[in-house]
Amino acid sequence: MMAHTIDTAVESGLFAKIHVSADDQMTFDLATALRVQPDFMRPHELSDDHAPLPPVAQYVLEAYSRQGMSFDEVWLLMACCRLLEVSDLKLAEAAFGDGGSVLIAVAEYPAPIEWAYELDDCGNLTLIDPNSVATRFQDIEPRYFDAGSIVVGPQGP
Amino acid sequence: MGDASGVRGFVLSSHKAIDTDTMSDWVAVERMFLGSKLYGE
Repeated sequence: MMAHTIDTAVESGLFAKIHVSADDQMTFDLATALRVQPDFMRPHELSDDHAPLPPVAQYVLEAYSRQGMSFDEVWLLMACCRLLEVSDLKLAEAAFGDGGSVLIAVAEYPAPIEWAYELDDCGNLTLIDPNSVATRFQDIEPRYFDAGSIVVGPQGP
Repeated sequence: MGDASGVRGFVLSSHKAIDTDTMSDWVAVERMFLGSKLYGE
């Protein structure tokens, strides 16, 4: 699954540096085979299945900073984006433009959130907002949720 | 409705969104970039 995200990033041609945050030799070898050998591995304390993302991302950025490397843009791509395509990254690039503010990927809810129900343990339905459910579909603005896959920032946090 | 967050979004197809198991961790890392924007303090 990770190989797809790496391949997509490489094929996009958008990135001067692609870093795969490897916490074991298998991941390191996979990234290397895909032409993006990591410059360093995660430290031991960030190398288990429960390591949260923020300190891992912070470690990577600080490690590059210590090496004197800085970047105009920093992109985080979730490794498990199996359906991500090069065209999606190009779309993100176009949307980010010259930078200035953070960009995140979102997806549109497939149905109006105004039509939402709660379903209790007994199978009973309760409308969240009884006043909104009668609104016509074409009169409702689309709503979006965090796709959890891409964030783009100027120079990183 | 709140004020504009100053954070921009671009739209992916919904089937490309990740599974929800990793969302809380992802939001945490987004906070690094966003500071107090969007999610507040």
